[in-house]
Amino acid sequence: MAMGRFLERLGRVYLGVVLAFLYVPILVMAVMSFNQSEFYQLPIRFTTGWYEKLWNNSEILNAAWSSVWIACTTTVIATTLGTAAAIAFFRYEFRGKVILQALLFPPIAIPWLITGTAMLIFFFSIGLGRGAPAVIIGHVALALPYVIVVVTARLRTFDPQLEEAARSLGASSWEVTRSVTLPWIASGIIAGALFAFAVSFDQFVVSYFLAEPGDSTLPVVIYTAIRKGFTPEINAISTIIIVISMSLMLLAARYANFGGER
Amino acid sequence: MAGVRVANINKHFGAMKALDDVSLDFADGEFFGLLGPSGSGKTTLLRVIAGFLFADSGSVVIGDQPVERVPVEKREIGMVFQNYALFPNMSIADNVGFGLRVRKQSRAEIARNVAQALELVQLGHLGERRPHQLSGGQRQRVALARAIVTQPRVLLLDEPLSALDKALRVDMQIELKRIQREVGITTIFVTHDQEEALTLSDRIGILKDGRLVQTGTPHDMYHAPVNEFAAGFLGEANIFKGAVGASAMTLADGSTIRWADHQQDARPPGAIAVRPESVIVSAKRPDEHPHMNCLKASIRQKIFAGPTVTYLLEWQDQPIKILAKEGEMKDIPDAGDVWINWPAEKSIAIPAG
Amino acid sequence: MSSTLARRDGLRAATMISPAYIWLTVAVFLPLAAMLFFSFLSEAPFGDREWFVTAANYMEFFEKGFYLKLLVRSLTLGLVVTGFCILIGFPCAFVLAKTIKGRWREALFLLVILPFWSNSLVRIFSWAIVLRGNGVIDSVLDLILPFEVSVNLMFSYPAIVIGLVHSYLPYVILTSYLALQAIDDNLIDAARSMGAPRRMILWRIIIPLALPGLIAGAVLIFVPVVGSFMEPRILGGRSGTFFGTVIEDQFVAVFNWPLGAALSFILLGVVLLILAVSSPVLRRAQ
Repeated sequence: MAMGRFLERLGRVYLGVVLAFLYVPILVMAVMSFNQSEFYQLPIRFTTGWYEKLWNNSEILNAAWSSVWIACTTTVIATTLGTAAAIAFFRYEFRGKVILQALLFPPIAIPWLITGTAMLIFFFSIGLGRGAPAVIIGHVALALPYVIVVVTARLRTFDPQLEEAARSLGASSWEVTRSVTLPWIASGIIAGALFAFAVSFDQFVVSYFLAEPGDSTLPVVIYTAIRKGFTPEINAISTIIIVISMSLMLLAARYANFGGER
Repeated sequence: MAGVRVANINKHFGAMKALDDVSLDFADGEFFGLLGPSGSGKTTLLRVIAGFLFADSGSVVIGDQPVERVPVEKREIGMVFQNYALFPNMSIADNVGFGLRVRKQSRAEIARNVAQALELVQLGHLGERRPHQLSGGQRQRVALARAIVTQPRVLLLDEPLSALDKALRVDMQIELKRIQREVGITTIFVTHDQEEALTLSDRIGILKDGRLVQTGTPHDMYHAPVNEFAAGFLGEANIFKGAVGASAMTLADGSTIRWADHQQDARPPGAIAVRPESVIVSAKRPDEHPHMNCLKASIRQKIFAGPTVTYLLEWQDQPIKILAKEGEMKDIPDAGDVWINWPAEKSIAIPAG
Repeated sequence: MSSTLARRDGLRAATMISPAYIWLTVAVFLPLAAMLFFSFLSEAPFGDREWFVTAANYMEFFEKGFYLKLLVRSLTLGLVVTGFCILIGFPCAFVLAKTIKGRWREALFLLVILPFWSNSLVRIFSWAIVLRGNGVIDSVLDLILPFEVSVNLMFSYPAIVIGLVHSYLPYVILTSYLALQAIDDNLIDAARSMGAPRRMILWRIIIPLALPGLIAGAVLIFVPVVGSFMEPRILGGRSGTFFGTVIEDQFVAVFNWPLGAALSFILLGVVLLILAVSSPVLRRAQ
C-alpha cells in the first residue's frame, strides 16, 4: 500500500525499536558472559574465564549431556511416529480423522504447567516416577504435534498421483513410501526433526517436574542456579544454549522453507 | 497381454451413483476409448479397473483372472496419469526402470529394457535428464515408456493428452496409436475430447451419469447413434422432431423430411439427426426430389475458419449448424433466407425412447 | 469384495497412526484423567497413607479468597500482557507485511520470530541481567545523564510484564503478519480509488480482515501467560506470586498434590473455556 514517505520511514524505525527490544537483552546477557566482574560491573574487562569454568563444572556438564541425549532420543522417536502418522493422514480417508487431528491441539495449547504436573501425578501413580524415561515420554508428546504439522505441510505439496503411479508399477506400500514419498518430504522431515530437538532441548517446565533432582537437564539446572543467585557462569551457559537453539531454528526455517519448493 | 471384462459394476460415492450396472468387454489388443462428460463415471470406471477404487458390486476380470481381490500393485497393469506423475527425484531412466526394479530384474536387464522402451518412444538420448528438464510432450512419452516397459497385461490412460497444447496433441495422438500398434497391448483410455476418441479408438464407449450409453466402432457410433445424447456428444448434430409417418416425418412448418429405408428399425424413429457437414445451403430453392430433404431457413452468422466455413442458421426458432469446405458453397448471402437440403440417406434415424 | 481390501488399508492406517496416538494418550490424556482423579482425593495415595474421595480441594478454592484472588491476578496479568503484545505487535506486523518487500521482508520476519523458538528460560534470565539494580540500565543512564539515578525494576510487577511481553510478542506478530499478508493489496487500492481516507481503510478494511489472526494470536498468548510460573519466579521475586506459582508450590514445596491437582484442573477449565469460546475464530484463522 502506498503510504506517505514519512509514515513509511516511521514504520521502519518502529520495526527497528521492536527488534532492539527483542535482541538487546540477549546481547547484553552474552556480552556479560565475557566480563571479568563477578557482579556484572562495568566497564567490561574481557575474559573467557567463565567458559573455562563451565568446562570444570561437573553438574553443568552432566546436565548438558542429559539435555543432548534426551533431545536426540526425543527427536528420533517423535520424528518417526509423527512422520508415520502424517503420511497415514495424507494417504487414507477414514472416519474420525478430523477428531484425531483436533487431538493434536491440546498438547500444544494447554499450558505446560498443567501438562507437566499431570504427567508427574500419572507417572508416580504407575510407578515410573521421575527420571530420564519420564522426561522423554513427556518431551516426545510435546514434540509430536509439531512434527505432524510440519510434515503434513510438506505433504500438501506432494502429488498423490505419484504414489498411485508407483503402485500401478507394482510397488508395495513400503516401496512406495521409501522410494517416492519419503524423498519428496525429506526436507519437511528434517525440519520437523529440528523442531522436535528444539522443543526438547529448550524444554523447561515439563523437565522441571519430571527430572530427577541431581540428574536434570540444562534448563532445570540453570533455573535452580538462577534462584540461588546470578553468576556470569550462568550467562556463559545461557549464551551457548541460545546460540544452539537459534541456529537450529534458522536451519529448520531453511528446510521448512515455509511451503516452498526445494 | 489380455482382454478385460467388467460386469455389472456398481459404485456409489455417498449418495451419488458413480457407476450404474456397467458391463463392458475389452478385446485383447484393442484400443478402447471411454468417452463422456465430466461426472459421467469414465474415470471412476478406469480406476476400478486399475484397482485404485473398489466397486460396491460387480466383477473385474483381466485375462482369465478375477482381480476384485487383487490390489493395484499385483494387477500387472500399466497406467499413464493425467499429469504424467513422473517421480521428480529420479532421472528419466530411473523413472522408466522403476517397475523393473520393483520386479527385481538384474541391473543389466533393467538397462537393456529401459533403453529399448525409451527407443520406442524416441527419447533414447534423454535417459540421464530429470523430469523437470523435459517438455510436456517428452514427459508424456516417458510416462508411456514407464507404463509399458513392465509388459503389463493392460494399459490404462487417464486423459493422457489433456495437458498438452492442441498442435502437440495431434502429433501425440499419431504417436500413441503407432506405439500401441507396435506393442499390441490392450489399451483403455479416458477422454472427454470426442475428436481424440474418434481418432485413437478401435472402439468407443460413451458414458453418461454412470451408465453406459453406447459402444461401437467410431464409424458406427458416428453414423448410428442410439440416442440424442450420443448423437450430440460424439460429433455435432442438428436434431429434428415431428409427427412420424411410415417413411417421412412431418415437421412443425409442414415440410416433410425422409430417411433412407435401410436404416429403418422395426420401430419408427423418435427423431432425425443430421450432421452439419451433410447439409448444403443454396440461395435458390432446389428442384423437388423424392430423396432430398429441403427446409427454408435464415442465415444468422457465417464463421470463416480457414479450410472450413461454419454457417449458423435459424429454422423455426431452432438453431441449425452447417459446416462447409471453404469455396464449396458459393453465392450464399451473409444474411436472409436460404434453402438447406440434404439427401435422405444422410438423415440419421434415432430410435424412439 | 471391496471390504477385504478396504480393511487392509484400514489396518495399514491404524498401524501408522496408532503409535503416535498411544504415546499422546499415555503422556497427555491419561495424565489429565489421573489428575482429575487426584483432585478429588484427601491425600496423595502413596505409601500407607489413608485417603478418601472428597471435594474438599475444590471447596478450599472457592471458600478461601486467597486462591480466587490469585486466579484473578493471573487472568489480569494475562490481559495486560496480551494487550501490550497486540499494541506493540500488530503495528510491527503491519509494517512488515505491507510496506517491506521481497527478501528483506522474509529476513526481517525470520528475525522477529526467531527468539520465540529459542530458549524461553534463558530469555527471561537475560531480562534479569538487564533489569537488576546497579545493572546495565543504571550504567547506561549514568553515562547519558549528568545526575545519579537508580532504576531498579527487578523483582516487580513491571519486570514480569516486560519479560512476558518479550516472550510472547513474536507470537502475535506471527499470526497478525500471516493474516495481513493474506489481505489483497487490490482491496486497499480499490478503497483508495473510491476516496477512502487512511483511517477509514484501517478500521473498515484492514482490521476487520486481520481480526481472526489477531484474536488467534491473543488467545495463544493469554493461555500460557495465565499458566506461567517460571517468569514470575525469576523476575517477580516476592511480588511474583501468581496462580501458576501456587500450583508449582503444591508439587515441589508443599507436596499437597491433590490440592495442586484441583488448582491445575481449575486452571485447565478456564483455559478450555477460553479455547472453546474462541475456537470458531481460531478455525477461521487457520
